Amino acid sequence: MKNRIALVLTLLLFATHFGCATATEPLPEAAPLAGAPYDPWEPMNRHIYRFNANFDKFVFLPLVSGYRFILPQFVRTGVSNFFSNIGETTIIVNSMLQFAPVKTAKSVARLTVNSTIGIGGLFDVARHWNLPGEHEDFGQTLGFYGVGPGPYLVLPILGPSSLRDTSGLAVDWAMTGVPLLLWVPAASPYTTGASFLSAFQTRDDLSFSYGELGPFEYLLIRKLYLEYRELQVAN
Amino acid sequence: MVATAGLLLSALVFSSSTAASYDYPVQDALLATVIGTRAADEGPVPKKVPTKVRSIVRFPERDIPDVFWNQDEFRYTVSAQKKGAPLIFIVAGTGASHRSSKMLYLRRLFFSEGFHVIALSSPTHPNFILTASSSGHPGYTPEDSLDLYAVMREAYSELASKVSIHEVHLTGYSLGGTQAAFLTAIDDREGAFHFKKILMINPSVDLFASLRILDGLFSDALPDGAESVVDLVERLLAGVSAYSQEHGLRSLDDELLYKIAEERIAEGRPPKKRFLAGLIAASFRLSASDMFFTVDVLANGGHIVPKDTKLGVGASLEPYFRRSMSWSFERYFDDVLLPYWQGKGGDLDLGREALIERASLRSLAVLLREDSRMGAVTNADDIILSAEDLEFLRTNMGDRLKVYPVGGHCGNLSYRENSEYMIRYFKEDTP
Repeated sequence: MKNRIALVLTLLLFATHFGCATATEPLPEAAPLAGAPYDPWEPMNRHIYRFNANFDKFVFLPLVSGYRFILPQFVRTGVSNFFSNIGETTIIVNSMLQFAPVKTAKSVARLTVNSTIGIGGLFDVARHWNLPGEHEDFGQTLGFYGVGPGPYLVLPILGPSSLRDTSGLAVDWAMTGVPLLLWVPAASPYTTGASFLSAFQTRDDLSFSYGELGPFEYLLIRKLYLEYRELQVAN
Repeated sequence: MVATAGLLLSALVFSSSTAASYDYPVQDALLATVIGTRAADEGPVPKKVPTKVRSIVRFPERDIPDVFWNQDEFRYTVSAQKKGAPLIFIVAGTGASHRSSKMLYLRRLFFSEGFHVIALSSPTHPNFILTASSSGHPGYTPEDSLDLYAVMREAYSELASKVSIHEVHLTGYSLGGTQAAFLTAIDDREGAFHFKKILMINPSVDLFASLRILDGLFSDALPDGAESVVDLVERLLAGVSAYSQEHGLRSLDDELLYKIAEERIAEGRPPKKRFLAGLIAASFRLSASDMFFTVDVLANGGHIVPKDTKLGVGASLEPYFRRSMSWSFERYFDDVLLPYWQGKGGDLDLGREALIERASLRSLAVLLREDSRMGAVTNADDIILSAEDLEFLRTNMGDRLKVYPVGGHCGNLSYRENSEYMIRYFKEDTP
C-alpha cells in the first residue's frame, strides 16, 4: 500500500471532500460541499502555491543544499536549537494566555536551562532532562478563545495558513523580534544573516517536496493543514 | 479482567516470538498491511544516504496541460557509491513515487550494502504518466514495462558517465515486482542490462484480479461509497485526536498508526477488520484517482473532466477529485483502457480476457520456471494474491520463492529478517 505516513496524512486530509459524491455521480458543476474547507481565495492561493513551488525549486532548495554543504550537521543542529530557544518566549506568552500553567512552567524551564547551560540556546539540554519542546503560537491562542480559522490562505514562501493564523504570526513575530534584537544589533548585516540562517534551517528541517502528492496535492495539503491546526488548538 | 483480556488479544494479534522461524509481530494480514513495521524492527539502515533527484525529458514535444504545472520532467532518485559498484534498480508499487517510504527504505538498505541505487516511480504515478508513458494510458503491464525500460536506459547512461557500474540487478515491490518480470523478458530481447539477479517483492500475479480484490474491499468495507469514507475518516480522526490529547502532538509521527493499534489491542479493543479494510481500500483508491484524473486530462478523454475544459493554475479541482474517487479500477479498465488499446488496433486488438491474460505473470510462466536469476518473496497472507496465484508462484519458482507466513501486503517489507534475506539474495551467487 501507500506508505504509512501518507496513509495517515491523506486520510486525515480528505475527510470532507466527499459530502455529496454519490453512486449517481454528481456533475462536476455540483454545489460546494457542506463542511468543505472555506477557501474563497482559492484561485489566488493556487497561484501563490505555484510560486512557492517554483521558489522552492529554483531558489530555496539550491541555497539550502549549499548551506548543508558548508555547515556540518552539528552546527546546523546548533542553529536550529538557537532559533527554537528564541522562539521559546512566544510559547511562554501563548501558554500563559491560554491558562496552561504546566506548559508555561516547562517552557520557562527550557528557556532558562538552554540559555545558560545550553550556551545561549545552542544546545537543547532540556530535552535530555525530559523537557521536550512544546508548540504554542498566537494562532492557537486565538483558536483557544474561539476564533475560527477563517479563509484558508497560502502565504508567499511561508506556505499554508489561514486568516487567523496569519494574524497570529504577525503577533508572534513581534514577540520574537524583541528578544532577537537583544542578541543581535538591529539593522546590521547580522540581522539579515540571522533571518537567512533561520529560513535555511527551517527548510532544512522540513522533508516536504512539492509535486509528489499528485494532481490533488493542493487539496490534500489544505485539508492536512486545517485538520492539524484543529488538533493543535485542541491540545 | 479487562487487562488480562487485553494481554490475551495482544498476544493473539501481536505475537511475541513463539514460532522459532519468523518473528514479524503482526499476525493479522490487514493490520500488517496498514501499520507495516516499526522502526525498531527494521533492518539496520542509515538515516541519510547520498541522494540526488535527477530528471529526464523523454517527450520534449509533448504538451503537458497547465494544471500539471510542476510535472514537466520525469524525476527519479539516485544514490551512487563513490567508486565502482553493482547497480540495483528499484521499481515502486501501484501509484507510488520514487520517493515513497518503501522506496526510501529499499534505497537506504541497498546503498548501505554497497550498491548504486536508482529508484523509479511506478508507471501508474502521475509524474510517470505525464512525462514518460508513451501511451498516456497506464495499466497494461507489458506496455508500461517498455516505458520503464526506456527511462532505465537513460538513467543508466547518466550514472555510467560518472561512475563505474559492475553489474545490474533489478527489484520492485507490488506492481513493481510484477513489472520486474516483464522487464526481464524485455531485457532478454534488448540486452541493455543483462540483469544479474531479479527479485520480485510481493508481486501481483494477475494485476486485474488484484485490483478487483481492492475494488471489492472498497465496496464491502465502504458500501455507501463517499458517505462511508467520510465516516471512516471521522473515526480515524477521532482516534488520532484522542491519542494526541493523551500523548501530546509530538506523538503524531510515522509510527502513529502502529502505536494507536498497539494501545487499542492492549486495551482489548483491537481495530475492526472492516475499519482496516476500509483504510486500505480508501488509500488505494486515493492513488488510483490520481491516475484516473491524470490520464483523462492528458488524453482529453471527457470521463472525469468534460472535454476541452481548460484547467488553469488557479482552477479548483475539488469536483474532479470527487469524481475520480468514485471510479473503480474495473471501470477505468472497461471505459478507458480497453477502448484505448482496442482502438489502436494491430497487435493489441485483443478481447478483454486475452488482454488481461497477457498482462498477468501467467503469460511469463516459462521465464519464471526456467530463469534461475529470478526470485520472489511474498507472504502466505498477502491480500492481493488468491490461493491459485500463490500456488502458481510456488509451482513455477520452487525454492526461488520465499513465502513468509505473515506480513499482509508489503507489511513486513522493511522487517529486519526480510531485509537480510534481500541482501543475501543479491550478494550471494546462487539464490
